[in-house]
Amino acid sequence: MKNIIVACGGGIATSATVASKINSELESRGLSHKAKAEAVDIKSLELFMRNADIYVSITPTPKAKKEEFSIPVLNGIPFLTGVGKDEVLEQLLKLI
Amino acid sequence: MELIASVFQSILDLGAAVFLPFVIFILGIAVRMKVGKAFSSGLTLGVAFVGISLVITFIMGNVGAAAEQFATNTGIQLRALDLGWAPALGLCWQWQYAFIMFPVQIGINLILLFLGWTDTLNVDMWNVANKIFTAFLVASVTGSAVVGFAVAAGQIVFELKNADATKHQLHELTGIPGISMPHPMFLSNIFFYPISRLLDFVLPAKSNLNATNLKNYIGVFGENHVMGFIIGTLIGLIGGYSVGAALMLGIQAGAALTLFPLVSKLFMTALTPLSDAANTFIKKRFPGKEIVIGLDWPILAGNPEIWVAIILTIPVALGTAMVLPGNSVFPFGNLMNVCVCAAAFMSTRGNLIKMIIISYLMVPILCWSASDFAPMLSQLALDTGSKLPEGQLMAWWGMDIAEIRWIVVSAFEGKGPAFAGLVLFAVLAFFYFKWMKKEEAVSLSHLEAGA
Repeated sequence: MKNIIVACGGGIATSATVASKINSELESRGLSHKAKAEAVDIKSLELFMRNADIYVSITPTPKAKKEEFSIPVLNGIPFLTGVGKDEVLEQLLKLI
Repeated sequence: MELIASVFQSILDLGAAVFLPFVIFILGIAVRMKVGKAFSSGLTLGVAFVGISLVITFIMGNVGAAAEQFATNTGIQLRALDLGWAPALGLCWQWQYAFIMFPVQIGINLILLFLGWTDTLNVDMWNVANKIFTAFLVASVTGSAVVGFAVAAGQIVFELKNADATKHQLHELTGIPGISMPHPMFLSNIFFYPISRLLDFVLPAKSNLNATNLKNYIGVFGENHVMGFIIGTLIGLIGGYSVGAALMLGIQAGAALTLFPLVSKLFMTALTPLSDAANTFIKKRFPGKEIVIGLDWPILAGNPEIWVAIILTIPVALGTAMVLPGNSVFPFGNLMNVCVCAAAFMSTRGNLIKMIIISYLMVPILCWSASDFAPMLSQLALDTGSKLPEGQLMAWWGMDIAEIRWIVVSAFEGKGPAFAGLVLFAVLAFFYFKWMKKEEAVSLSHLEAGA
């Protein structure tokens, strides 16, 4: 079971929206037993990252910063705007 | 007819936690969700409601009671405990007219898009609650939900116009094209932007602080459980608890601040499938039209300046609250106050010194407005099943657009100075949108030079 985390300012609104969208995409592909997305608070990101396999970020993350993280970082903004969503989803599915 | 009315009334009487899941289920079926999924979404909302009440009752029983001891021990009468934005907006969804705000926001947005008066499509459904809160406050003082909704409608229009008026700046700041931010907090920039410009005269040119370094040192204090623990323990110690009891209070406070997000995010889990359906419906009707997607603020949350300014405001907020005449609020749950600092991040273009100054200037206004609104919020909490200790109120210190809401609600209460505030707001808003045109042109030229 892969643990996907989505972080936003409070772990309540934006992140929960994206997590919910990812989960329903997984469900519709019959993959909900292989991975699950969870909304977390960005202020405690390091804490949550210890138990996570993939980080979906909804703040623009520079490449240098991405390399600091120990797990793969994906861009979550397409899940909100719809633009480029298929590409990100494909990247995500490859990782699980 | 009478029969229908009485059926409706008896469903309403069941309470929001039973009634609204039912509404979500029906709406889900209407937008062709699977029955099981619609049922699950509806129930999740009911679970969120009960969860919020549970945590409010828990925290008010522990930290609220300790704040009472604190008052007795020190003579500082802060009877309204700030629980933060998650429970406040969570309660708003349970206001009896809350869900009417969905069609109101979507309807106004569609009309403005059709008329070409906006290019923003606001897909941020969580912050519908921020309009509900405005409507609720105005309805509480005027006794009329219609007036409340009229003011909220005005807020929706302002939010969309502001989102349009800042989209190139947002593109430059975040590097993401095609988005805007119709979040109400950015309306505070009508006040913050002129302050930021005035500060240019006072501050030496190009003065700034390195936020990344600072955040590495103090970032840990911004974590919910850490901050809850520190503040909770302090309240206990000053309230005359034994060290052991004060530490236990600290852990309880940390637990409450950690639990609020866990229950509040269930709202979005329940509402996302519905808002997806609504958005698909709208986008289908605007094929080929250039639409900017309006998002919530956290796309800015990766900027360390915001967190540093917030954390450096905490001691000032606590100190001010203790001594400020007319304040009755104990800032606690919302000490990590995004609403001022994230907005100021935009209007100062990330200048940390200016952000901190603006944040300090806002502290008294946040205290007074929260004190005024605490009785209304507490009534809503009591009406929806939370329990508050005798004599204690629940508050939301640091709400979004505190200054504007305070001016508007006070004007409806007939308070004289509020009318001067309305005039000031109108004048500054007029100039703000002119200034934004210039800022947009600057950002656009930067973007074109970069591309």
